[in-house]
Amino acid sequence: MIDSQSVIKNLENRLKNFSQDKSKENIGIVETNQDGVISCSGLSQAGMGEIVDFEKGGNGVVFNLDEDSVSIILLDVNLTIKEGDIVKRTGKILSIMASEDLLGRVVTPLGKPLDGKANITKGKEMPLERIAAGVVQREPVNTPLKTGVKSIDATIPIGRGQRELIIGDRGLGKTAIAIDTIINQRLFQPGNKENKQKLKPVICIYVAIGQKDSSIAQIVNRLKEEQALDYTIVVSASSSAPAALQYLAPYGGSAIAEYFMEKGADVLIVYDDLTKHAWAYRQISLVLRRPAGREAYPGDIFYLHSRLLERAVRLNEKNGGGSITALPIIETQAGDISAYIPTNVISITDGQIFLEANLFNIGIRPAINAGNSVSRVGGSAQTGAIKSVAGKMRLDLAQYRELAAFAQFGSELDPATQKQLDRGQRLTEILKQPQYKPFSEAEEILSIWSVTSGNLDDIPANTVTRFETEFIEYVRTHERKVMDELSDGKKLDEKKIKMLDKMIKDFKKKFSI
Amino acid sequence: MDKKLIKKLAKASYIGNQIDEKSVNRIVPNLNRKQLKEYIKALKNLENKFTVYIDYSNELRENNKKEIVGLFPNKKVYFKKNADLIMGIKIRENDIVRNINLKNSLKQITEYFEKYI
Repeated sequence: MIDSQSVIKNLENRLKNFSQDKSKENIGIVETNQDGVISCSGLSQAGMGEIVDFEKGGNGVVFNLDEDSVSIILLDVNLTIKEGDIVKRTGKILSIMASEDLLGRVVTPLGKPLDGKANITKGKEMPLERIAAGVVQREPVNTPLKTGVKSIDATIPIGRGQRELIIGDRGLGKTAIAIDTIINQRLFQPGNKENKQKLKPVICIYVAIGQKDSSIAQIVNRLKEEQALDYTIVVSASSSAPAALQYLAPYGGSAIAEYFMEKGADVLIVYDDLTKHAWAYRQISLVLRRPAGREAYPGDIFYLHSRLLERAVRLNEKNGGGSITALPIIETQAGDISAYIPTNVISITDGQIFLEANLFNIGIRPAINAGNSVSRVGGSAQTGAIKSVAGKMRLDLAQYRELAAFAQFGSELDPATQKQLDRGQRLTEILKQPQYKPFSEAEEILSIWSVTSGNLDDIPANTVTRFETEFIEYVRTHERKVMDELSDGKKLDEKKIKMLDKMIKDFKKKFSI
Repeated sequence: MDKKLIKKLAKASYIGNQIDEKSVNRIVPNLNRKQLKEYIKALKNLENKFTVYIDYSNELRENNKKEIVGLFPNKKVYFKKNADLIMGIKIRENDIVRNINLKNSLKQITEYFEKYI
């Protein structure tokens, strides 16, 4: 127990730091309040991005500096602000209190709790806007970030420090892929014995921008059920939040990610979604009367996203070796990836996972279009084991889809084409995966190898999924050691292949079609 | 007529730190409603630049007042009694406010305690 003397001493120490230097204030007077944007006279010393306090409560951020006036965007819904009210400078820039206490929490972009738990008072103040790490501090992407989604890990691998866009129309499972990736990171949490490759644990940040509160609540509940919330932080700016907060949300998430990265941790950040982020920024810009460009977006809309995604990085060992992997999400309209925001973000990121409505509607889920999806840097982060089984799978899959479309016209096919079609059909079946069921690397290898090795050519396509489930279960129960060996990430050698061959033949004898 | 020109007109309406009524009367009839609004705004801004407001809690002596006025040459200084300050003065010069009073000191101490202790 602390005695009264030490309490007084502590107070005295704190008082030593107290200085009364706030006698000079720079003030402004509210002139107009239009849709959450306040125009003020005065505030001649205010800086861009500075926080200002309203005397009647609430605060805002300086967004425009004009010759005689300053434009401020409100950070909370404050209906009481009117003409003649006084605004004061604070001298502070936007920041968020980041600490380990944020893990498992749902907070606003400025760090206020939304889950009814205690405020986060301790930690490090991280600025929301920050210049990304420079070239000298970085190193190439070389460690895999396992999503647990077979089709992604095999054909569009993601590395730690990469920026991989998830793009598609509404309702095609973009968020599902991101959530599955978060759930899969529990495999790498400290103490998990399945982490044979000794990959570092990943801290996950899910940034919800302009989404329904009910959807965010569902996601939080799902993460809780899957025991994924313990290593996840949810930054929420729902559709009911002011446009300013929706605009700040990804930067808030990024600031938290940087806090953990500076400590050497690997962080995964999901921006769900940047289309709504662009909408929020467009709304603010239009109210601020900034000149509108294509699709009424302001001229700096590209910089808005490029400066955000540039903060995803893999630092070299000298700088702590941490990383931030970004999974931005973009919603397209009627599959149009040539719209303004999609093309911008495609060009910024290191690849994209393109989801297609046609595939979704015929039951291929995740509905990933192998032809349009690409990972520009993830290949070098793929483990030898996956590389040896997946090989040219993406190309084969893309060729199969083209061929299948052509074969619909119904002419006789030569045996080689027919074989390619049969293999492609089984490949498509094996890549189907239910939601919230991420696969471990060993399971992925077993599934993919069984098709690419031709062992499923004699199994009817409609039973492939059942075969896969039962085969994995068979290996798990009868050949536990094999599962462990496949998890080491090393390339499949002759010995391992022979062992797998024997196993699948034994299983086929027991498998009833 | 653009904003810059209206600002020039507002500046021209002043002689030293005093507004010149004759100039104003000559300018105003030539402006439409929108321009007149801008003109008034510009005049107000200039007026703020040339004026200093002093709030004080206890009656100031004449020599103190003179000293204060001497600190702001070429500006109009207005004094106003404000008991809320408890002790001391508050000086408002355009958009800069200097609070040298007990009320502000107490406020700062309270804020500090609320935040850190």
